[in-house]
This record gives sequence, structure tokens and C-alpha cells, in this order.
Amino acid sequence: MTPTTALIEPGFALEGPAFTVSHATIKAFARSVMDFNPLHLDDGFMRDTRFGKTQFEGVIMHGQTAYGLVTRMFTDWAAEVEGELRRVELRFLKPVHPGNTITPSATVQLSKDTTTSHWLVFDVSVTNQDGVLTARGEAQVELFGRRSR
Amino acid sequence: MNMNASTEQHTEDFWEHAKARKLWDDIVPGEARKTLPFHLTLEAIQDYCRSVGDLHPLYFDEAYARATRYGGLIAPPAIHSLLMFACTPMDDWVRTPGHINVGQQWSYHQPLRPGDTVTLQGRALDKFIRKGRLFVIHDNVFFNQHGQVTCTGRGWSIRPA
Repeated sequence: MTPTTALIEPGFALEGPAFTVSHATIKAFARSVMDFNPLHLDDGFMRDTRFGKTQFEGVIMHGQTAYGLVTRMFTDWAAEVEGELRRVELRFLKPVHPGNTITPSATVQLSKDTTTSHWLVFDVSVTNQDGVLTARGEAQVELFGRRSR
Repeated sequence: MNMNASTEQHTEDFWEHAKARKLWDDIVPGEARKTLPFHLTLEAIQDYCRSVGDLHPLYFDEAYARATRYGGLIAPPAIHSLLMFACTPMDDWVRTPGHINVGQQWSYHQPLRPGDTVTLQGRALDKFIRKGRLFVIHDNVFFNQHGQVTCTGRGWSIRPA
């Protein structure tokens, strides 16, 4: 439940909707962002290509899909609390494949007044259906009119 | 697909211009990338939103959006995922087959809106070798047609050897 009148303190948590990845969702994302890299669309390319010591068995989801799910989690919430998503930083740690289901989540690590506003700093995670961390980072949300002093 | 008047030169075939793109060796940190203005349509915004399952009325319901502090429909922050490709030509190195995105950070200043014409100032900021892999950090600033900064960001990518 989102506090609507009090300042939001460290430990407050958000979770976004789960997203199940398929070849169709990957193709739809590729078309929507014009990113037709064969990493995401060509199973043969992925099976035949080595990436350093890494070799994939097939296509992988665009990392930016996870990024979009993270921003969606924050913008859905910010719209309710008169806030604005100001920054997201995300590192992609593990590949996400068709058939995987990923879920973004975030926890407030810091709550801070600035001269005219109030900001929250979140730790951000994206995990798959097995609880494996696929992306990790940080986000910052500005809450208008919420200064504590 | 969100192809429109300003993106007719974009195609789905990333191999077509592969030989015209800069190799890691050719990329000069600090050197401006060639960029293209992009007319951001409502269709392009909504295509993006649907692709990440985001049907928030701020992006779909004009009456709802008009009653918010935005005063109308907007684009979601991560629309830069589209703009990175829409605002760069087909021979830009971001389209190199096998180019891997390993992380991004973006700051958001004000939302883009349907009908905006978006421009990009972009460059490689750094390149280096780590654990035998060829890294490039790219640095990007997007503007609307009024010259206002809408968002800024950096990405870490691994380039094919």
C-alpha cells in the first residue's frame, strides 16, 4: 500500500507486473524500437556465434525490455503519488530467453530533502521465474511537495 | 511498424549496412555521431507502450491525460529505447550485428509528447578492453523541437571483435 500523506521511508517496496517473454514479444519490441539486432531475432546467428567465452543456444530478449518494465513500475506508481521518475540505472546481468518470466521490483534505500523537493533513491532488481537476478540497478524519484521540514 | 516520414531510410536488415559501420578500432571517443531528427508520432509511442505491456492512460487516453499536470498525452520515459535507433542512420555502429547492450543509465527532465520532433546529440564517450572484451560507452542528449533537453543517458556496450 502506498503511503499518500506521510513521507515514504527506507524499506518501502514496489513490485511491477510479471512479463512473460516469447519470440512474439521480442519481435514486437524489436519493431517498436527499430532494434533488429540478430541477437534478438536470429536463433541460427546466436548458435553459430561466440561472444568471448559465452555462447547462446538461441535469441535473447532486448535488455531495454527489462529497462522498460522497470520504468513502467515507477511511472505507474509516480502517477498515483504526484511524483516524477528522474533517473534509472540498470545493468543487465543474465540473458533472458523466450519462455522466461521476469518481474521488476524496487526498495527505497534513501529518502532525502533537497532545497525545493523530496527525492527517493531505490535499489532495483529484475528477477526471473527461478528467482535469478537478471538485472540490477538504482532509480530516483522526485516527490513534489513532500519536504519533511 | 512505426515507420513514418522521417524514418523512411530505416530498414529491418542490420546486415545490409554492416560493412559501412565503424569497427571498435574506428570509434573515436568524443567525436559526434551522425544523427537524424525524428517526428515522434502517437502511433510510435503507443507501439512502444504495448511492447512492454504499458497501457497507462497517460499514453492512451487524451481526456485522462489532459486532466493531469501534464495537460495532455505524453510518451513514457523509456521512449529513448526507440529514439536511439530512430535518431541514428542505418550505418551507425549501434546497429552492428552482435552489439550487446550491458547496461544503461538515463536522467529524465521533461516528457516528450506526440508530435514532437526529437533530435539527438550523441557520441562515444569512452572505449576500453576489459576481460578481453571491447567496450564502448555512449553518451546521449535528446532535445525536443524547442531546444529543451528531454532526457540524457549513457550506455555500456560490448562490440563484436
